[in-house]
Amino acid sequence: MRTIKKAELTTQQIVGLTILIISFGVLLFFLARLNLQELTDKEICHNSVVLYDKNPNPLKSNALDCRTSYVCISGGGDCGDFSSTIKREIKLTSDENTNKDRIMKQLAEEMADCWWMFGEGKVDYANFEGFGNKICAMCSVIAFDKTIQGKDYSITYEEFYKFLESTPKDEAEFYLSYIYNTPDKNKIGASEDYLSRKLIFTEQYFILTGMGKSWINWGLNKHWLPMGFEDIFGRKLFDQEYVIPLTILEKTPENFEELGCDEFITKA
Amino acid sequence: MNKKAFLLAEETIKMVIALIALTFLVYFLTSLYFSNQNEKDLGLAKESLDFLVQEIQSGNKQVEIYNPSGWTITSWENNENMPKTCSNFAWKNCICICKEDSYTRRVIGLSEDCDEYPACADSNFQVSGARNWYKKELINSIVISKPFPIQLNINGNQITKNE
Repeated sequence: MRTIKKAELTTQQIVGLTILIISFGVLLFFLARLNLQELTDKEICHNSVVLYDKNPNPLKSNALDCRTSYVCISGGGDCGDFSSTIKREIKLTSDENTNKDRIMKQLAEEMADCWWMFGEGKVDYANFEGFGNKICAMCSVIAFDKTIQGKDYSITYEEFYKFLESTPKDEAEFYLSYIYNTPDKNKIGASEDYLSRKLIFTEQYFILTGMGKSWINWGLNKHWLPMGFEDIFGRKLFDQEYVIPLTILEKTPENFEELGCDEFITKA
Repeated sequence: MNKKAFLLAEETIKMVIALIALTFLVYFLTSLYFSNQNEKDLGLAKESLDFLVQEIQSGNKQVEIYNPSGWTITSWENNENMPKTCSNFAWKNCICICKEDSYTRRVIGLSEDCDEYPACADSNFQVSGARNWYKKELINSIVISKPFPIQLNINGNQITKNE
């Protein structure tokens, strides 16, 4: 009998090719799951912030390279008109508390990432040109999908900050300790008005930090008592630079007005 | 020979030269600073324009623009007096975010400013806004100014500022 050697070789090739394609597919799947784009943007931002601080040139010729993330927190659907750059899927259950925890976990992650990107309050990334300036960094804008919007409950800021207080970010510390440098939510310096708010899923929220330079403490927004040195009367010293603590607020013109940012340093 | 007078002249010349050198140095450093600042703002302008176009294409009726501060959102239609950045691509309509120089705008027009630091896109959407400044009304422009962010309304193919 005559053996067709070429055909045998083709079968081998087909099997080889199939394995190759499947392996490539698996590799692609895991690469996509890793969400490297998001990681890269955050790394780029963090590096540019650190480099800016370390630049000995008083003209600060290097620019910050930080983008606002548009995050859709989804329970399976999409965020409608909101064009998101990142979609965070959460598995919704029939239990209200579990769902709330899962949503809060996503928000906490966004806040922690923002704090890390902008140097955890230890890095000076502002180039103040005048007095009384306030430079803001808009880390994320957050929207919820129709499934979450359809839930008939909301999350109070009390609940959310309690979650930050009691949920570990990693093995070393809790979210609240990491972001606000205190383990106690009552000591973060937030006003009563701020903590009495609610996270309503039909609205959009923004996560913001920044730096300011004040004459005295009168010019600061009412949500936070800023960190930094104070004189014996509790007033900020002249030309005092301060960090705007990480803030999550509903995206409304009134809230932007209250914050009173003179400039935004993040790219749209 | 009057040595004192000779020394005085020498010192004066030295001082004049030093002054000229210092003036050049200050001019050079100032130019460097502003050029650098404008480059940074141009980066922000391009990102803001991309965001605006993307939001319009997604069908959003309201868009927030955060930066760059003091720059102007403007548009041209039917190829009229467009910046070269747009006309070189043979765009029929054009929307830009430009750094407005009051002197250039009054003498030559805003398109010249847009060519210096170009952040433009091909878009049918037209900016609708009017303001009086230096007794010359400038239509089709919205300034990115405080309070931030500015809110833009998209209505049909018109972009207006939400006051």
